[in-house]
Amino acid sequence: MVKRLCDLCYNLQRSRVCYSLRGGIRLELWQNTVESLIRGVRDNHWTPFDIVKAFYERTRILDQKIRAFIRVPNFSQVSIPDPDAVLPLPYAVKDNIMVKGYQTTCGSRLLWNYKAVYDATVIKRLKANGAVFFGKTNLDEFAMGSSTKYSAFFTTKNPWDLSRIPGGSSGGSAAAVAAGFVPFALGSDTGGSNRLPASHCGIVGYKPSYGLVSRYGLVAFGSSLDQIGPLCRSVRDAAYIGNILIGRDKKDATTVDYPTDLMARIENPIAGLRCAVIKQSVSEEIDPHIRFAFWEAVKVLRNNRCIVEEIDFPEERYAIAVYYILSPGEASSNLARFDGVRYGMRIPDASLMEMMTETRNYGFGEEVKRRILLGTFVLSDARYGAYYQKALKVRRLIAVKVQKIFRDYDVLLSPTALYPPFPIEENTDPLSFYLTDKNTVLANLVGLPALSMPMGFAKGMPCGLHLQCRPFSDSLLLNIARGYEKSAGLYEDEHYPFAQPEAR
Amino acid sequence: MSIKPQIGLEIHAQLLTNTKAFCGCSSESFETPPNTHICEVCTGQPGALPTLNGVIVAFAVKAALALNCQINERSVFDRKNYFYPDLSKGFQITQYFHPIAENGSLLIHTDGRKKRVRIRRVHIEEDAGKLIHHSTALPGGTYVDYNRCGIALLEVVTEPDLDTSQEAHAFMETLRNTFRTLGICSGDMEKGALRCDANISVRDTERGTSTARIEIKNVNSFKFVQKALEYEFERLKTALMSGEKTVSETRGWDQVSRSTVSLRNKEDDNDYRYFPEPDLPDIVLERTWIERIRSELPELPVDKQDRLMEQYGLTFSESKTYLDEPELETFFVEAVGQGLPVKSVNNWLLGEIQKILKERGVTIDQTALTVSRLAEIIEWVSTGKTTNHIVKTLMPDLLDKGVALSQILSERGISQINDRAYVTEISSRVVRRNPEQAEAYLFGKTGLLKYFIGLVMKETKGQCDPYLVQEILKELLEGKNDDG
Repeated sequence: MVKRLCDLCYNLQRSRVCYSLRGGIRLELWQNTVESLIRGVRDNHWTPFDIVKAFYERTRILDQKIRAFIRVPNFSQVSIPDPDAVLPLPYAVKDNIMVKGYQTTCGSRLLWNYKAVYDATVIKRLKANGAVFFGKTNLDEFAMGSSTKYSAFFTTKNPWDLSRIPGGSSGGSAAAVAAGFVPFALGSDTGGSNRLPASHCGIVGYKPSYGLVSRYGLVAFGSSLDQIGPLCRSVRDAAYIGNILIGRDKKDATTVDYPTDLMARIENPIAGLRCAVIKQSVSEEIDPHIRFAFWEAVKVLRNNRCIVEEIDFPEERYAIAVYYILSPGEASSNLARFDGVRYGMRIPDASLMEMMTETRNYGFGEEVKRRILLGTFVLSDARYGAYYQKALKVRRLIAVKVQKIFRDYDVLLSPTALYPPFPIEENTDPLSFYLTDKNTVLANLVGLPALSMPMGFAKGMPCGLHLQCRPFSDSLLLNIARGYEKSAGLYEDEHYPFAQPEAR
Repeated sequence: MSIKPQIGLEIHAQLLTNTKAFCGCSSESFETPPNTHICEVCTGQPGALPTLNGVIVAFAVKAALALNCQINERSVFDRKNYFYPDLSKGFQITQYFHPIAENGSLLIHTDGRKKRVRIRRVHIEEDAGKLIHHSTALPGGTYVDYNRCGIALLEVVTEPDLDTSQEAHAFMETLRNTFRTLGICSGDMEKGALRCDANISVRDTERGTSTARIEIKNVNSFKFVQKALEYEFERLKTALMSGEKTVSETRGWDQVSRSTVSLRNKEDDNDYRYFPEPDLPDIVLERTWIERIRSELPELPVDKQDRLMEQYGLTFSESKTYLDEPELETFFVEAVGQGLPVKSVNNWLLGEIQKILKERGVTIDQTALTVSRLAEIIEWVSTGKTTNHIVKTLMPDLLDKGVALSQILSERGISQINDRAYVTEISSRVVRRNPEQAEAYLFGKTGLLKYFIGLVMKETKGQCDPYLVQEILKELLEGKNDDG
């Protein structure tokens, strides 16, 4: 990265307003990546206080329009990071991750009053590295959705076009990062919930390999699919934050001990890497502008002497069906604890069973109830064999096939989203929303590391390039993504929404 | 009679681990203040995940080996989904599709013969909390105590191999003793550490007809399980013979009416929607580890009982008492090991000593009695220095105070009077004082000898050897005749 003072900084000898220059464009403090913000603190160009203040001011002014946060943080409640910490920055958290003492609503009426009684492991790790919690971001209720329209409270707006959805379910976190409210945010990804909003909001969304990041403290949706990951502005940031998040946690039995430094290989050359494009993931049903942007991205990779080949993977079409059997099945069980007995909302009623029924009936939104019903159906005794058990088998078959593909290739490429973000007003039926996960669910079913990063624009809205690698080769994934990022040079353009708040 | 019951048991044993199955909370739940052993995991807070306490697996394997089961090298946790306030997560973690062990058997003794009862499966699961209903201490509603929620349970399911309620009782007892010997369960039914559900159906082997299967649940003692089974057998037998239709249902035992009552119809049963628990990895066991546990297994009760009978010539019921009272057995083995005669040791341990222990609700190791003191007792009695009677009256003190028999005797001024001259003197005085009775004796009312013995014993405060007194009195009474 260019390390040079802008004119203003130069004139002031030591600016506290601005630090870096990229491609000749002066960046506001909030436009900086995690890495350059930290470098600015180390070089004494600004203090953690300046950083918190700048992000806070921007949030205060702009979140009224975007509504990324469930509740706009109060400046006095945000602590100021220690300048010597590894990560002296504020961050936002999707509101389905526990931060002790703070409300954790999951975007649901049922938990509107629930205060977390413990810190999620990821929050502990960030705390231990000096990062400070900034605020909780909006999401589709219990992370079920791809728009934030299923939040019980309000819909978050896409910072690039306020009439459109930001994607979901980590839409609040993605919008917060894209709008410059925080340098990075945490999201959770069950079927693409980090990657889809990252694609729609023009940022990087990373889903680590299943088992690399502890899920302890993440309100479970599909336990065998869920994974926490960062949303940020650059691939290097994703690796930097990822390094802090990953590691075995004795409180999450599905985590593995897989020591890996995500930054170590990130700048390695990518020439010679073998990339596969699954034909089915760039089919005609996908928006032509997105397909165009995708093939442009492929060109960039080819120019970097990557080998890109199209492959046939007919079984891929079953992924979405399998996903919509397994994830509601797990969800129907995971959400059983919200019964009004111990915490959250309670609709008092004559009998216990009526109280539980009414609490759940009123507390859950339509989409959550739809998925609980779906899950209850596929798990019921009479249908278990035909649906859930069969889906488990197909999941294994798909995993075997994917394993085979990764014998010949290093990375799978596809567009992240099939279409540009829908207008908020458009009445999208649930099934169309389900299909928007088409390209992203595979990674969750097989536990692959996956990442979405900006690759261009379709109809004026950002769209993402989706990369997936074999399980636990996260450092390779970030290496390839970084290689593309360097050549594509997207971050040397002025592609920031709300570059000037006054401008819109 | 061709009408027979078929009985199968499902036994839940709370495992004696320090912590709960899937979190670090203490597994102490009996009479602890409500909701003091809880955390985010066992109260089902959002986002909390279970992690398996490894000790449970070792305990389960011990049980499985003792029950001669085939141990699955890979077993899987599943979720059993249903709604109830004491179930904090809305599902119970159990092993449904792939239990840790299957196809075993347990040898039981009934009516002096042995019977092998097949075990269908052994699996690990977690306990639920407890509802506390409206009371004066807690007015206005129902409360939930989650102390018990998440405690590790081992469920043992038998095949319907039991033919009588006595066999069911014997099975439960043998299983409890086995688990106690293994040190994996306290076996205290009254504390809920061991719970037993029974399934019974009755069939007519001649006509080939049979009744519906009845499940008897929530019975908190072996005795009541046996009674409930007896009652159910009669009820079902009557129904079967009269051709009345029976329905599959769950029934409970009502101690007041001494009958079983219907709790719910099986058709109302939940669809538990079992599926593999995604938050816990499969349990994968290594053969060598299993073999190591096998080699460390203690002697099991059935084997031990056989050995006790053979080695010491004990009766079935004597050996069973020692099996049920391990502290008593330890004492017995030590005493016999020091060369004390088996018969005397048995007489004391299983007689007066056990009686007092039972009254006090303590075990022998909690008393002051030692093997050397018992040796002294046996020696003094056998040499006539004191009497059984005296020792019996002193036994409470011997158990309480760490003192020797000789010391107590001298402290209390009690010594067995075996001095012939002294006994003769007392006896002749007694006889002199009761001339009419003496005469009556002579005229054939020999039963009066007991009367005289009683008087002498009274005079000497029971310190004389009654046989000696009898001998002397006889001489005196009959000798008088010679004189006269």
